[in-house]
Amino acid sequence: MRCSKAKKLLSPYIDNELSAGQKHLIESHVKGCAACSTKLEVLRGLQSSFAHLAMPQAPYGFATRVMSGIAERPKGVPLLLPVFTRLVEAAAIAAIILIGTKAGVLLGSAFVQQRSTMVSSLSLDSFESVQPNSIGGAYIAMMEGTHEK
Amino acid sequence: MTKNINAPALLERFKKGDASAFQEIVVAYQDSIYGLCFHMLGDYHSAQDAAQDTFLKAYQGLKAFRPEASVYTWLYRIAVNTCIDYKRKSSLESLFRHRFDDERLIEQEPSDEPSPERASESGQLAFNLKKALDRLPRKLRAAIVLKEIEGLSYGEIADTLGISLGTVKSRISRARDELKELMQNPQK
Repeated sequence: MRCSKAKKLLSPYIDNELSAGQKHLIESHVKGCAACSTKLEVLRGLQSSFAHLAMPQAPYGFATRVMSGIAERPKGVPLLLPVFTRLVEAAAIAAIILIGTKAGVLLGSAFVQQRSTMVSSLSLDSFESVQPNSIGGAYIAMMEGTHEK
Repeated sequence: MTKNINAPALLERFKKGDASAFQEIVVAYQDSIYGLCFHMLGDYHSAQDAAQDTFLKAYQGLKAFRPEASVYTWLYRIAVNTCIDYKRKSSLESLFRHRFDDERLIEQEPSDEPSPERASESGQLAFNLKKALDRLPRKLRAAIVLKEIEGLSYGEIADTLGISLGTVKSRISRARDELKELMQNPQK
């Protein structure tokens, strides 16, 4: 048996889930293979470490609370809360996406509108002609006179 | 983990309207279901809620339960699915509880009074293992908890989780490899 095959079978081996034939093959392989023998020891160590985990017991009065919960529940009301919660979650996500998209579209159109107003404000069409008797008119007349020379 | 109750007789009584029969089922399995929920969710508070929900769901579905199936496999299946739903919903909330529960876990050492060194060693081992278990993906955690803590066979795990024997074998093997890695490199 190759190491790659043996390593896959070590876990079911320690769980006693192999056939007698497979068990025999693993045992003979491990005897002659230091790497698989080490891995087997590590797996056994991990398995035994579960014995150190706390095994909590149901709190005092648990069964009574369960029975009270059953008695308090209106008859015929199905326990569909998880399904309902998931539907609410899905609806909330859809609403957020929709609001986000709408807000993006509105902001985009407002920006385009603002930009076109700004561009049009710089157009020459928006300037009025200068009155001849104003300071501006005198300045233009003076400049035109300078150019004519 | 076979419980010493006459499940078919209790089911028969329940179907005839005897609610106390269901209470006997709750009493028989409450520690197993609560323990399973604790190891799946990692904290006592969520475990209690999930275990209670498991029995409420079982009560509702008990009349449709097939007598040829095993009661505890059926209860474990409800509990695992309930815990997966809880984990999905409260993953953020549980982050704030883990520290407190880890401290309580060390306090709950077996009462056979080991030496202080031994108690400290096993406490640290339990702490590291629980930390690693909490970081394991849900599917791998369910498989290894059912195997190592509940003591189910591969066939019973396959029935409980509704998966093939090959998948059970692969998930348990991967769970062990990942646990070993997480315990050796806790910072990973």
